[in-house]
Amino acid sequence: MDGAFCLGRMEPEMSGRVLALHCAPALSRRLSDMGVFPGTEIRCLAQSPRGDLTVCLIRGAVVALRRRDCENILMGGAENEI
Amino acid sequence: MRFEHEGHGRAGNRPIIALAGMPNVGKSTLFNALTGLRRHTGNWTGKTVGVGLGRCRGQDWIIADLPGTYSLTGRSQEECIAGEFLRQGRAALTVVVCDGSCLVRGLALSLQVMALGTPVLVCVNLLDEARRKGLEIDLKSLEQKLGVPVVGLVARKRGSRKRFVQAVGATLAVARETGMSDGDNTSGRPQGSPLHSSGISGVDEERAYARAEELCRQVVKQSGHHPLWGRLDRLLTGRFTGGAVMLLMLLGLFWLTVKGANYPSALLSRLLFSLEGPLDRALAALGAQEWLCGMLCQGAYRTLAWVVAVMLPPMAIFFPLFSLLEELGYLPRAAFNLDRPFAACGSCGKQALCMCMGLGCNAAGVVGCRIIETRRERLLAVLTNSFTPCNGRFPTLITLTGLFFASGGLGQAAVMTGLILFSAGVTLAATKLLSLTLLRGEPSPFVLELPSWRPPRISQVLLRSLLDRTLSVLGRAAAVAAPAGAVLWLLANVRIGEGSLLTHMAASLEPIGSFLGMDGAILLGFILGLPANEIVLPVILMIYTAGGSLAEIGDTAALGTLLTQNGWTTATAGCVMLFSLLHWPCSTTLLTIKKETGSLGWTVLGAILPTAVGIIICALVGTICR
Repeated sequence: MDGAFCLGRMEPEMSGRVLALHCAPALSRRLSDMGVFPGTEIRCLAQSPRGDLTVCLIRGAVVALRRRDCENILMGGAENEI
Repeated sequence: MRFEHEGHGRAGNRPIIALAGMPNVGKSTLFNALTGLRRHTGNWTGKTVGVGLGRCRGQDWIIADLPGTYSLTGRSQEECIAGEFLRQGRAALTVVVCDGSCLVRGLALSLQVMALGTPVLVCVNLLDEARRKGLEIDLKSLEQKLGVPVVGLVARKRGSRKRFVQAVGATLAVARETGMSDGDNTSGRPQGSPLHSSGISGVDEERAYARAEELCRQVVKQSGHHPLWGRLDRLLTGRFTGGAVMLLMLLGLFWLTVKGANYPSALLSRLLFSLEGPLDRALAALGAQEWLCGMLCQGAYRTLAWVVAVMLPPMAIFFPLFSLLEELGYLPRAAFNLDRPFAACGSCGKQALCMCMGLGCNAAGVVGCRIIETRRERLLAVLTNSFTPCNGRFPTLITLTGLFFASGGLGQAAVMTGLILFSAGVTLAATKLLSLTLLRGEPSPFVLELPSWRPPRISQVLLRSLLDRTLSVLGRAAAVAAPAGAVLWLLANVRIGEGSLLTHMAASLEPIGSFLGMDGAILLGFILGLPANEIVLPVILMIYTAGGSLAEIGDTAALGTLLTQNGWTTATAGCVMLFSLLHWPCSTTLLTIKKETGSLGWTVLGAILPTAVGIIICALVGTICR
């Protein structure tokens, strides 16, 4: 897969690096607390059955985010793992 | 905060050791091991919401257990507390507790704390969990590269306390030599001292993380493949299985509670009531007057005995089992499953965690709402918390279920599960209503940590929780139920004309009571139960029994007969149970709401909202059944 895509569109086992965080200030604040900055690698582990939550691996921790919250987190450089 | 008046770095003349760290890295577990105190612990983010202080056993230190914080500039209330505490330099030594299985975050926070200039000790905890994930950490090399002392621990294991105390002692000694722990953090601090050479000035998270990642690459070795989101997680959060497991778990919990509580309840009741005779005779022998004997024995003691016999066994079974689930790490998965319905009502899944805390005590649940970051959603959770039945209402519900709705253990458990689902439904509806009217706003972003499963220390958790619950029930029985019993006895025995003060009051409430499908006595019970929900049923019984004191009710069958004699039907019992779920919170909870929201208006709304819902639903049920 090439080009940029958003974090909310990631499929399980896909990973990528953050290109830009264009999300609500409250969320970008919380994400930077957890160590998410441009360049940080994030891996998608799973999606909730109804697809509203994404389970991500962020800096070694498993974190659930709402998909619509991370529509505007731009990712790039995906590699399919495993 | 609690010790504003004390000097920097010291409480009295004892040095303060602060335990800081990201949420859910085991700070409170370590605190408990060090101080011998019993702060509640659980495997989820935000379990600890205030600063806890305790003296370290065998040492002259005060240990301060701070709420978890992601950074020094955290937004949520409990994070502000931690950040402020650290920035003000109150601690002689700050121990940054890190999760060994997720070291980079802990190190990033360590670097930020080191930049503040106070002496720092980095404690890498949860080494067992790291090992399970195939991570090997070179602590020696980390210590060299970081420039501050590092100690590795498994805080849950016994031997760890000694090692930790040694490390703290050594670090304090070095700090004293270099003059850093005199408490004066603003001047005379030798630059480049061995205790802070991180090279990061100011609080710059991005640089802290970059440096932390670089360090991790050098000291952490990963081997093997360990799934981070395994089969169990998928099962528990599955589309159908997630809900099914949640229901089955509730059902199982209640079944064990109902089954297990019957026998000890009867035993306790026989034992406590058999002591009343001797107590009465002893008081009489001491020359106490008849009214004093009556007030103390038939009033205070009987109410106390009743509350203990009915409340203690179910609570001493339910909560230890519940804390097992909590230690295991199930609760965040439940919050994950429940985010969708809560999001649809303008809130978030974390509200489910507050509801779980509310099961133990609504006041604790209200304080627990601090884990929710935005004010709007926190208020939603605070105002709706009393819809979750607490410790004081649970046993009443269980008893009435057994008397009027189901006889078998399984049936009783099913009714209880239904009640919990109903209260969750009402919570959702009320949340929706509030978010459409008074608390309008966009739902804020939702970030939920899903910690890895931790095998609970079964015997320790069960024992500790059992002891805690027993003490809390006994404490409340002694502090509230006994004095209330004495006052009630007086009310029941002061006669005006035909009846006692209590029966007059009940009679005047009769019209409202019967409109709500109950009667005046029941309504009076709820009103007088404001200080503690535990005494609602005792008050009702005291009004019913002509003698003006709580009847000796050895078994639940006698209780059932008494209630039926006073005109109770299944509909009455149903209305009582509904009103018990849906009425004003107890006074402690109201005071807590006032404290947490800082507003009388929200407190009043917190009382009016559940009461209004209760009145509407009970009036409907009462009318339909009549």
